[in-house]
Amino acid sequence: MNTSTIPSGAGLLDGRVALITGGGAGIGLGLATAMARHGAAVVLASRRSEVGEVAAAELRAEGLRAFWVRCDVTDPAEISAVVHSTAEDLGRLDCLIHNALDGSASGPLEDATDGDWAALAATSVRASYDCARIAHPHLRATGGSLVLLTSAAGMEGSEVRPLYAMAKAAQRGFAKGLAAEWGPDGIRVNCIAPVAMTPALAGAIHHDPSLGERLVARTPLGRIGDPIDDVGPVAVFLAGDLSRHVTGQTLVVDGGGFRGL
Amino acid sequence: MAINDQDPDAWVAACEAPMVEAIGVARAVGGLADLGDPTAETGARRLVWILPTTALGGSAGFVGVGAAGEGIRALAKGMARQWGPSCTTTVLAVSPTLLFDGSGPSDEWSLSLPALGGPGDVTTDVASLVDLMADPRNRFTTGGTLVADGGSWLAP
Repeated sequence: MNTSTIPSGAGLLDGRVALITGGGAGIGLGLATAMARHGAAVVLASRRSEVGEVAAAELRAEGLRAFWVRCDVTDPAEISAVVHSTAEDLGRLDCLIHNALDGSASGPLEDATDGDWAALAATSVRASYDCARIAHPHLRATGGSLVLLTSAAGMEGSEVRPLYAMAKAAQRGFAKGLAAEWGPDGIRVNCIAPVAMTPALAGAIHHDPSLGERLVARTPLGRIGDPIDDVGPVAVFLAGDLSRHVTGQTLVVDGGGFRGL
Repeated sequence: MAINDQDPDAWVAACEAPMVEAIGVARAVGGLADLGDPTAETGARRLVWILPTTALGGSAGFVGVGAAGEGIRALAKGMARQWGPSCTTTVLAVSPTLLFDGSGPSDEWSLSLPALGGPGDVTTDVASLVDLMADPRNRFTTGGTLVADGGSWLAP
């Protein structure tokens, strides 16, 4: 049974095309699902077919337009292939959401390896640069929207995951500068900083039940968000016309846990 | 340089290399045998980062610089949390004019003129703040960003 609060056919993104990196699972799939339910054709770009193919098929079974394409965001050629094929096959590209990330090493800085940073930087900062440059002509043609997934950790810092926080902050800085640069082209650039119950977070809470309790305790709205129904609508907003005069911003979607902006 | 004109090497120089250098600096400071004794006369160790205010607001043509700056600010916050009182760390955000010798991004964030005029002087206006940050009496400031641009950037 579909218990979503998003009514199918609401149509805020009718006729639009969105590409979501890391769209096969977790937050990325939540954003894609919400956007598809609002009428967008969504392309889930991810590395693992056994996850992405199944996710896209489940959306299609719901009557939505969803496709999976393999993409490793550390390879500009693969980004280029998926961006250009999306625009060609679906006729346009209105929104690119860069959500993919590899590298979640935790612990103090001295325990992090150069490889930890290299993986984070490649999939966050460098992939943002590659995605943006490659998608630019298509987004300019549609007056489109680039959305980057960041984190409150990038705004408040983290002693547990200092390099993750650094990478996420850099993406936010990237978005602010690019918003200024691409505004004249009619392209908006924004960030979403979510906290939501993804399979990864559920696994972490299963391993450490107190994590869930601490997260809820710091959240004024008293629960951990849902990727589709709590975070997804923000992606719908940023991809659509309702946000046509919003750029360079970070929307924190965490139930009020971080209120520092 | 607009990002569409910036090849990967230029991108690395503007964005990724400064962040790698910052990680190296933080590791070097964190790896010191005696990070610092906040109870001693000399107090804790201090690490002060100098960044352009571009890191705060972003500027067209300087996307990589802004990205690196925000990344380094987050690193400073994380290090502040990790090091605690043994080593405090503060970001000084100054006018880009001081760092880019006239070839950098604009610091005209506001429709208003800088409250104190700008862009300031490195010796009299910025170095004095480094002294202030390094003073042993300054033992309760860490992880924050102190904006020293003559009152251009007044956002939170």
